[in-house]
Amino acid sequence: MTQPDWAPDDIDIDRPSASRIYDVWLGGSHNFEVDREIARKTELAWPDAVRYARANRAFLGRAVRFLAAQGIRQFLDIGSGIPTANNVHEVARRVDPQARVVYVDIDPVAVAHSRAILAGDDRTAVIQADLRQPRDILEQVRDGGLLDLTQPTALLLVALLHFVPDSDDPHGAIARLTGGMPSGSCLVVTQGAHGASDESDEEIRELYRRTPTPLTARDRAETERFFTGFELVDPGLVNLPDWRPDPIETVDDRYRGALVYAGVGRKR
Amino acid sequence: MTQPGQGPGPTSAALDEFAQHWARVMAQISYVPVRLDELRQVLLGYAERMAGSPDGLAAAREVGAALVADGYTNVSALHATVAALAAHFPPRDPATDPRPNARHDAATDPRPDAGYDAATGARDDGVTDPRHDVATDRPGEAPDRGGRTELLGAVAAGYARALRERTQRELESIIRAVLTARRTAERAWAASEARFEALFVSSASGICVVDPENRIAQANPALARMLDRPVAELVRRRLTGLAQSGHRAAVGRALDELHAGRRAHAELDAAFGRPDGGTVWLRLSLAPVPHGEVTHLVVTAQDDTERYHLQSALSHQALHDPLTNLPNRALVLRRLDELIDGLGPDEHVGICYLDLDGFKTINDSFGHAAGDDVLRTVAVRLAGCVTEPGWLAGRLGGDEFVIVAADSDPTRLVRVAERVVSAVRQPIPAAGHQLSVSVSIGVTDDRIPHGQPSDLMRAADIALYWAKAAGGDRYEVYDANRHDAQALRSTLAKGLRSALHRDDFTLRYQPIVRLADGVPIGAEVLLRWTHPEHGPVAPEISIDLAEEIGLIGQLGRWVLTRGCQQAARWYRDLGDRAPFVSVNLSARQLHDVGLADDLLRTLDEVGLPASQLQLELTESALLGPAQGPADALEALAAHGVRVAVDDFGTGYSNLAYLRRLPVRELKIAGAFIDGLTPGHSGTPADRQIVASVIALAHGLNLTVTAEGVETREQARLLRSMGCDHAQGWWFARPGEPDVLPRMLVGEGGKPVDPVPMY
Repeated sequence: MTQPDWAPDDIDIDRPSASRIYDVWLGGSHNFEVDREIARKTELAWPDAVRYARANRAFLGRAVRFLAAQGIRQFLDIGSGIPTANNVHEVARRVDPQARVVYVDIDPVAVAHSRAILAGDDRTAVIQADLRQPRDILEQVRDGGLLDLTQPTALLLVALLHFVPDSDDPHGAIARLTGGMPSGSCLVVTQGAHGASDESDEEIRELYRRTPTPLTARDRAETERFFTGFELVDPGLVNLPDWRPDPIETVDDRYRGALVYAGVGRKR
Repeated sequence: MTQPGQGPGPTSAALDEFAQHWARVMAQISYVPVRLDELRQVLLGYAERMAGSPDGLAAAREVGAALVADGYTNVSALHATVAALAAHFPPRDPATDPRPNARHDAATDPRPDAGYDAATGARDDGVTDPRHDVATDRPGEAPDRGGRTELLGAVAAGYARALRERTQRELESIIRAVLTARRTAERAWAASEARFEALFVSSASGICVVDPENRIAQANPALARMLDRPVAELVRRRLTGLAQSGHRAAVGRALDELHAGRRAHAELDAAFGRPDGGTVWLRLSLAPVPHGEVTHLVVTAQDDTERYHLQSALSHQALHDPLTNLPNRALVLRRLDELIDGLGPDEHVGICYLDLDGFKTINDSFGHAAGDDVLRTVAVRLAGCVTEPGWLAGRLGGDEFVIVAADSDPTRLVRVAERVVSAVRQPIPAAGHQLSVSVSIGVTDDRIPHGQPSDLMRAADIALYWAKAAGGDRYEVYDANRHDAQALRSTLAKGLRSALHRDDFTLRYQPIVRLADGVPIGAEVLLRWTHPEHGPVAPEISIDLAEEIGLIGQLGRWVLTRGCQQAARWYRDLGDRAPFVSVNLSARQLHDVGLADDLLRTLDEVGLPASQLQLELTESALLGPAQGPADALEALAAHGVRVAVDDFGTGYSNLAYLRRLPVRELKIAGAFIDGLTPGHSGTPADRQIVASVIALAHGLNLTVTAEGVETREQARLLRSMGCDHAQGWWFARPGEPDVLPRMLVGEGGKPVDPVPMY
């Protein structure tokens, strides 16, 4: 018997959440003043935060399109956050309407919201789980019956790992989640690196300490280590906007002041 | 999206150019990544709708709303759109405008805006309907070319309304999500709580939560069952108070350590009382439950009573005799140790050491099964006799039992020993017989030298030996003096044999003087033994011991031979004046068949005339029906050996022997002579006795010697009474052989009374 990971008291709209802060930057209104306050203050320290958020979203779209084009039909999106435009299942289904997506988030509000949005969609599922408990994720995915993890699957860890410190062993979690997946499965990662100035880095880290998920920046080598057992596809691990940019995409995704690594790996 | 190119309006080329311009600015504003070509197509569609719709303003509002729906929620998108429309939107051709009066139409459009109301669910909140703004003619303003101002207004209005709706919808949805999440959490929590409640209630382990005062805040039914009290009765009681008194401190200590945070976990075993007086052994496991300011502890309890009982049974087996189920040697000795260790100032521990009399015979005659029956019965009777609290009856092994008596006094101890002796005496049914069994018991307590457990056991064993030696079927109480005397005797007895070889024995001679003139006429030979460790040993003890260990014959012969050798030396030196030797002869020696022959041979060997030897015999030695001694004495007397009766008058006298035996002399015991001293309590009687003995002797033609003469008065009196001879300290102490020759020449001692006669 396990206790629930969160109690009613934990659902506290007085505490900012990373997914709602992200929603602010994506122009959403699924957020509260505490979230908007952190978003505003982060923008003061890092004026390109909105561009970054959009670039991250754009990357997610490009990566999913790429994976779907490669034949991937199952997506496990951990840290999916608040649904917004161009969600994974929407992008994937533009390639194949049969694509299946399981969204996973630790934030019960994000999960409840996602479930409300996706109610009635029998090719998506939303589970509340924690990357740090990969066995629980696998069990819930298996129990849901939506994904067949013996078939090639994409594990999406987009804008998630910089919220997971090494002490929580994200490498072990990735190994466990992908260990049973067949060759050809894919891993998608974005990971914030250290920024342009230590001051702004520290300021942002300080802001995120108010959320349940403080920030952990990683350098290239550290980020590459997530792909152990995977082969990075071209162009390897690069700054977000540089990953297979779409020449006719409208948005100027160039943001300044920070480096966020992005990469897609294919399981050997 | 409306299909472009329908109805009247700007040329498609103009619209296309506009859309391209519009898309370029919008692309920079978008929150969502869009491909430029797709964006241009979308916007071109919007442009065509506005241009081609018969109701351009309605289409404009829809386009404003569509922008929001497409995700252009950044208000910059409205700015960019308005700017683009104002600068680049191709003018509507008024000729083809189907509306009779666009301005009027817009201002007076009576159609309710269903979306407007439906979206908000309420009427406009005080903000003037933008349509009225558009309708208002402002003086001085340039006429709206092709109604573009109205168009801009309609787009803005549609956008604003949609944005507001979208914001409200999103906020509502996120709040709903919060509520849903909370409800889900509550349900999960409640389910979890219910599971915990079920776990708590149905757990086989006893569980309770105690507060910082160690009072039970919650307890589960299992704990209630273990302690045999309802849950309600446990709540608010102190856990420590429920423990048995001997365990309270330990439980309290463990709880305190956890409360104080010195330990994060503790386990201990403790006994708890049940209302029926029973005991339940609980293995407790303690852990803190940090909750708010105060720390409660959760205590889980396993009923360990069975294991404890098993352990007790094992330890019972280890400490009890399987045949009788009495405590075994280990337990008895441990109990004795404990009692002696814990003795208070006026407390005493006693023990009875029991051994069945002749148990081996029972085993040999009736078999071991019968022997076991006897042991079992004795054990039951023994246990029945030992009812005092704190007393313990056990079996040491074989047919040996023991009683350990706490807080004992000699009276009670002896009473129990008596009870046991008579209880065992009752016939015991065994192997189809009624067997008569008896027991010997040694009794002692710690009031003996040292008083350690081993000393007690030894003392009781010695007393048991005494009881056995006295015939069994009795108890004996240990007596240190008796034991010491016995111990000395046993030491001396051991030394006696070697003493004969080592010449530790010596002879002393006590002169016997003729009272008439004080001339020494003889000397009594006295045996002296100086033990190398214990020093001089009293002659009676030496003789007794020699009799006991069967050395008396050998010793007697030694004395006789040495005595005769000495007398022979005197005889050679002094001739007729030489004193005779008077040697004591024991009854054993007297009954020795070869006595006469041996003696005569010895006299011959040493060259001593028989008349120079006197044999002293006690009355008891002379009595008896046997003819042998009489014959021997007769034969000796015939050769001239003198026979004297020693200690005359102190034994049971049968004067007939005086007629029968060749007695020449009577010796009056020193005890009577004491009575001759003036002022002595026995004086008149003793004087009469002495006078009578003298009269009797003289009447029978016997001589009389007084022993133990110590004063001049005694000597004078005896002489006046007609006593023939005397010996004692007054005349001379027993001494070396030369005392006699020296007395004969007037040296040494006080042999001669200066007053010859009264």
